[in-house]
Amino acid sequence: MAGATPAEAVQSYIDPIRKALLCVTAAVLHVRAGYYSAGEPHVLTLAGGAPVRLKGPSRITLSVFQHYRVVEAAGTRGPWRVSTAGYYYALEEYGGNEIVAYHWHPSSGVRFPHLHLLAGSRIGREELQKAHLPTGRIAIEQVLRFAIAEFNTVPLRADWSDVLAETEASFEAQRSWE
Amino acid sequence: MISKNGRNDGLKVMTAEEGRKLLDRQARRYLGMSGKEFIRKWHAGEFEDPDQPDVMRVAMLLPLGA
Repeated sequence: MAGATPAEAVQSYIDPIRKALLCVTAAVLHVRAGYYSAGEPHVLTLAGGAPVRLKGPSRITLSVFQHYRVVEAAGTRGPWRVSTAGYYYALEEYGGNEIVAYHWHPSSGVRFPHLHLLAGSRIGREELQKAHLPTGRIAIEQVLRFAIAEFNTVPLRADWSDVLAETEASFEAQRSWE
Repeated sequence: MISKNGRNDGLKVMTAEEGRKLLDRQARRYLGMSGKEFIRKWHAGEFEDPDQPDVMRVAMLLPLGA
């Protein structure tokens, strides 16, 4: 996401994420002084990393972590832009086991984007319980849509589908992955 | 516009100290150790499976420990 200043680039990165998350939760996004360029990635979390309860009969929670960097860029993507540097999105049972978790943490462990099927998914086969199932890079909108469509999460606004389509299209148009 | 308490329409901008406390709280909750101990063990490569979800959940907060 581009901006005239680092702060503007970060704001234009965070705003669509916030807007998308508001389709399912009013929980606060946490960032730490991420409005500048730095070697280390900055952190964005939902509710400080705590699982957030989603409305609906499936009784699930959502966890969101992202790493992002603020970098200088040329052309229409500049002079400043924000690049996603990693993510951790999980759906969990209320107060308990993770069901699915989408991970991308290219600086450590398994470096390609992958999916975990965890205890809450009640998958019996041992290999799958420990597996890192390869995925493409996942946008937060895809996870939210998955929660609504497959786990019967009740959206908090009637036009959620349009909002997710809009924020995802904005992300796709300007996205930058490291 | 960021307010004095760091909130901005659903956005909380944490101070460095708040970030360190968050890392410490999550390390204690998920792994039963302090944030400082987590940072030490992580950089020493002492986690047998760093991609294990409880470990990675805390590791995603490592930049807050700086």
